[in-house]
Amino acid sequence: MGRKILLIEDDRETASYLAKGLTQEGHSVDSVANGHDGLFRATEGRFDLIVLDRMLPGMDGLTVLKALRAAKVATPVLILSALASVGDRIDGLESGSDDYLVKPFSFAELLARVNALLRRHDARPDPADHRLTVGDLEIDPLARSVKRGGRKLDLKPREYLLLEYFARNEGRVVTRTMLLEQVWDYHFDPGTNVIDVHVSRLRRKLDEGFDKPLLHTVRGAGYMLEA
Amino acid sequence: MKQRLPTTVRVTLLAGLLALMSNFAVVGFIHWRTHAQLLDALEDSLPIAALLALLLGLVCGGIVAKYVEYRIRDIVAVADRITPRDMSQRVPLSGTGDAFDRLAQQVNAMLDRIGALMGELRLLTDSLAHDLRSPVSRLRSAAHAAAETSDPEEREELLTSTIRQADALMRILTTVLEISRSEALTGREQFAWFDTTELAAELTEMYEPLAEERGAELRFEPPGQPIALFGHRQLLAQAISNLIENALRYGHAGGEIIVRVGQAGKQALIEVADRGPGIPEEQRGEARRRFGRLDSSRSDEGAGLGLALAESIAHLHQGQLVLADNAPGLLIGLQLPLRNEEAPPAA
Repeated sequence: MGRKILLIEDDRETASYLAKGLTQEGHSVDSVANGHDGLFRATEGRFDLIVLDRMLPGMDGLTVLKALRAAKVATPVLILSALASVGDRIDGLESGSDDYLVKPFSFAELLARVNALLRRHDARPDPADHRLTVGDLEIDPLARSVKRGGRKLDLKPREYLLLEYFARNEGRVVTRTMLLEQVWDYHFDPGTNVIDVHVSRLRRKLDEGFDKPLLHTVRGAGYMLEA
Repeated sequence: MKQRLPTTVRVTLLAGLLALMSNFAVVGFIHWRTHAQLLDALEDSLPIAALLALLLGLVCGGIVAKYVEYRIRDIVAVADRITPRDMSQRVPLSGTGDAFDRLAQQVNAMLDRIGALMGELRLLTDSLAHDLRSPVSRLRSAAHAAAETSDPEEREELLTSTIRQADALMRILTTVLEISRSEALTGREQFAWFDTTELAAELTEMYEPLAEERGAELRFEPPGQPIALFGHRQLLAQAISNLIENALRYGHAGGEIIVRVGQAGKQALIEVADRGPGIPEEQRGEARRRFGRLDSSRSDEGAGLGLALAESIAHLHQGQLVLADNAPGLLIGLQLPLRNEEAPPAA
């Protein structure tokens, strides 16, 4: 299903590349090249998501974001930035954005985050009030218990958090960086495959002994939980 | 060595002596006159005295000005001769320890510091340029091969490798940036209170499966009491993870890696100890340098920036990174000052 996305990005090459990619995914994209226009469009129109470049001519991205939030516009915002240091990422997140993506990024990474944000925005039921099911997998967030095919799975606390995050993004690609940020709350870029090892441990507990695997590797992008 | 009097005292004494001599000359000239004549003579001699005083002032002023100019000239000359190419010039000292010498010493110390900083900067730029050459050339040859090949499967593989290499390059550049930001003490506005023990335990848990896969046992040794630290939690997480990754990369031959949190006086200690080959004392400086990789033949994942970043993050917290012998193995620790005078807010 297509969504309305506002893209505020001054670099024409990046903007057209992103607009093209997102349009191919079925979204309708409005593109503006500076902060003033971006702020105007964002407060006037109705959008499901705003993709906002941090460094813009005239009015920079964080100022736009603060003005938006001050104007009670609650549309989820994904910030794009060439500022990659841990401090910059924290700054970006603390300024009221919903996610922060460092340039250069792969389109797969951007898409995964866009989809996660759109989904998070739609369905915001109380996370604890009902069970999550993916195929024959059943997750009870209240009891933090997991069953597959009626059999209880014995997961460590972190493995449970990983699985719950995957389940909340069922059918959507989740990248390694997203996992590190969302499940561990770290914002640096590890130089090892530390996240993959956790995912393969979870996969062993989840899929071993079952015919149909649930946790899939998406080449060049990340992982996906899908029945 | 003879202790010489400071310049100002010497000049004052000289001036006093001259003034005394000129008074004697005037008095000597008039002493045989009568009282009435004396008054006349005094009146007559006033302009002479004034003239003499003027002369004396001029002479003394001239001497002082000459002397100041002579001492300042040395400093100016050195400042003139300092160029980016030659930082070796220093101001000569007179040895008297007067104000000019102190100024010269300060100028020399400043030149030493600038020289050291420039040396470090040059070394960094050189090694950055040097160490980026091989990943860039790998990237280039992968892209070239992808353009040449007609096999679609091979092309995709090569393109994936190109992207991976580009990501690795970005990671290097981000780390270099992170190091200079930490060294410039940027990021202090994001300091907050947090529990060091919890952070180290969480990171140990995060790396434990990876350690197991690599045949090492990673364990956490908690301190007796919780240790609250005022600092940048995310950056310290990165520093600790760098130490753990370093131990996994070079120290897993011996099997056991211990992450330890403790307190020594007014300092929090976060240590990672491995049972690997360790680093001989004379190579420890090299190990913490940016791009300092002891075994240059290894072209694996690390760019040799991990410890340099950990050290700069320690500096950001006014602490330091210490490398020691774990007998056998390597012990790397972050020593971070606790701010005991400011109690953490009750959680």
